[in-house]
Amino acid sequence: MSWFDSLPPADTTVPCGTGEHTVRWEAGRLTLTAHPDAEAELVLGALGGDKPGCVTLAETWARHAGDLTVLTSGPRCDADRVRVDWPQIEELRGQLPRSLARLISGTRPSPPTTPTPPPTVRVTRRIHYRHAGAAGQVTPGFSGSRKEDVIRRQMQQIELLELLALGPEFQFRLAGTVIAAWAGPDRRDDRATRRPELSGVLTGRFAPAAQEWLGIDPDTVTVITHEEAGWGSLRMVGTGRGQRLRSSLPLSWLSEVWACGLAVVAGHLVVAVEDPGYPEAGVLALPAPDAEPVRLRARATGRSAGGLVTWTL
Amino acid sequence: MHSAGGRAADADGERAETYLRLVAEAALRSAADGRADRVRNAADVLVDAGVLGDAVAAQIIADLNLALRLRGRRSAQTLAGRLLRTAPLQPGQRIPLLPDQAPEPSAGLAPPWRVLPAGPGTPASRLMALILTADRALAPATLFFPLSDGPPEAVTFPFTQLTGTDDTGVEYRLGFANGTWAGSAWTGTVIFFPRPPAAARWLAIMSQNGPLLRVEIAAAPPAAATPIAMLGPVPETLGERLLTRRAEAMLAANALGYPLEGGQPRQGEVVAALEGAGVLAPLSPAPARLSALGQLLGLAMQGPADEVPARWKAVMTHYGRRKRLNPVTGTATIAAELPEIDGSRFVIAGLRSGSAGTFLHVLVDRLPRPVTRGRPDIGFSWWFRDDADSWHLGAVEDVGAVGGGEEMLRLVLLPPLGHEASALTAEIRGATQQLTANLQVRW
Repeated sequence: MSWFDSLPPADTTVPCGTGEHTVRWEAGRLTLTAHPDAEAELVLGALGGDKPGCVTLAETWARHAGDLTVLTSGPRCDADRVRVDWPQIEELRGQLPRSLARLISGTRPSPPTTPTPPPTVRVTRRIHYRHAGAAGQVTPGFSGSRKEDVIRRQMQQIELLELLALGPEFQFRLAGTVIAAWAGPDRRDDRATRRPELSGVLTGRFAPAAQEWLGIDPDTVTVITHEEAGWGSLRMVGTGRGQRLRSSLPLSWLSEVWACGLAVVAGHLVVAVEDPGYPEAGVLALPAPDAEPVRLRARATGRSAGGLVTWTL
Repeated sequence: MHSAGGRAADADGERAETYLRLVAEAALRSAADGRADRVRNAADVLVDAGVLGDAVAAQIIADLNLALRLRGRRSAQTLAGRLLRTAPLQPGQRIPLLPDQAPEPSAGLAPPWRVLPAGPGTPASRLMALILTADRALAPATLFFPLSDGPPEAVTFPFTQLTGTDDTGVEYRLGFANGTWAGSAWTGTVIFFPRPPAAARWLAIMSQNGPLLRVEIAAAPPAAATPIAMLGPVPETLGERLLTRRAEAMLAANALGYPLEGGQPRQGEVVAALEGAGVLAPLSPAPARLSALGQLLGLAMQGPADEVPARWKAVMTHYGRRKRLNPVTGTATIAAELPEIDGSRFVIAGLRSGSAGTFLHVLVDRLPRPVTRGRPDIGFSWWFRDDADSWHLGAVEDVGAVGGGEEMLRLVLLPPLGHEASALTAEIRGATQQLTANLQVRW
């Protein structure tokens, strides 16, 4: 049972070589349909050959699969549209030194190939990537001068923009991937070191859901990370203009519920997915703030313009 | 609320960061562009209060700005200076909550200082103290240049003629830092490089016309430079400290004729940020106190006048008079090395007083924050009570490098001393620690 079991595959096209190739997300993985042997292409790239843009993009995805920074820019809800164009990225890449720009995915000569799993091979590269932090991400290593720091930030920003340029469906799936990397029971200590960021991530996404559910001002919503057993808690406090919604939810709510488009379904706030699946999932949902959660079956009805799967009960 | 090490505890920093991130999330949700600037203001307040590090604040603002741009929205005013100081981050890397959280200042090996009170020097020229640092000697002093040495307005001219020497024959490189002129008198810090040898009995600054200043390196007992001092916790939260510092800045601005509110976030925003970050209690009297002072100073603020502390009123009252007593004229030695406070070390060298005012010269090492340009704010409050029971606010007027890691502060006393006070009680308040020291003043 995985967080992404309630999500269907998604396709998008990216510039690669002289044309555009399809990249598919399916069951939590990126598939490069035009590159059946991405591993070999990575080796060729390491030896000085051109690396296909698709392959480099898949590397970028893997590199940021646990990067909380992704969540600071990504969408908070279905109505929150994040738009990034590939020409914008090309323009930013053009501001980088040429040798570094080549290491970021984008339009480069690339032979057409057939589908393959995402590249997970280890290869020696001309710029070494170093592990950083508990999430185990890697990023290009520099010696740390001011100019190099600026370039590093630019590269990280370009990588982030490339991932967001994949479109809304991929934006939510990437967010789910990042959250899932942090939500496991084995990451509790790591979460404790990143509480402020995680609090922002959770509140920033739960508050719009609560607004959609109850019509309340999202600024009056407080949510903290629930670290104990169970789905958490939720209650209204105060009256009139002082009324607030206080809740605690596990971080996994974001990946299992929110990223799958299940936050609010037919007037219910989904607090947990007990039986993930697509196009049907078993959920635990609240019909009202002070009600007990009920077990319901949700059925997928399509896809919203914002990139989320839509559901009904 | 505070840690014993003189800096905000982790819990304060974490709550402040959480608050700022939630404010940023609210700004991103809001259709109103102005809310992004409120995030910037809140970040400024929390950094200023010492509860949130520059790097964290800059990162949050940068993240918000990128998120806004990706949504076609106007971004907040940037914290460009802060962002440039932000350490390079890796994906997934944690940035420290506070810039100085890594090494404990007192745990490091502070270079030893030796502080010597100055005896009477060459007639006219006067030394405040001689401070021997790891690799040099610092001599805050007033030097009187004879007219034959050149016109006083030729600021660099007299210095090129000066040499440094001692009784063992060592020739010193001399530096002259942070100086101000009053007629033919220059007051600033003379730097002797290298540090004088232990055998040296005196140092001298020689001009073409003979010795300009001779300093006896007497074998002063160590206790001579250590005043009676009491160190204790600050009876204010970090939020209250910030509001108090703002009040003191207003008092200084009023006294010195600066604008009272120059580009500062409004008090309501300040209080909201401090309360949200958990460093200001809702029932704290500090906001009312600041408002009352603002009202007395003619700002559009309201507060109960009886909340204004007596020492604030004393400063205000002095500058409200149409006629004021002239400041006393002279140079005095203090030579007091103070116990470490909030990780910073200070030596109060002495003071120079004249028609321009009374100025205290203080050596400092390990300031807790980068010094802001313009009117410097180093995060400390300085108050002095003279032997006539009058209070004087110390406002940092200048912070200048003197080599090594040390810096020299010039504090203007508001109001200036009106007589040759023989004693001052200094009350220095940092973010979490305060120090009271009895200082002997020798004119």
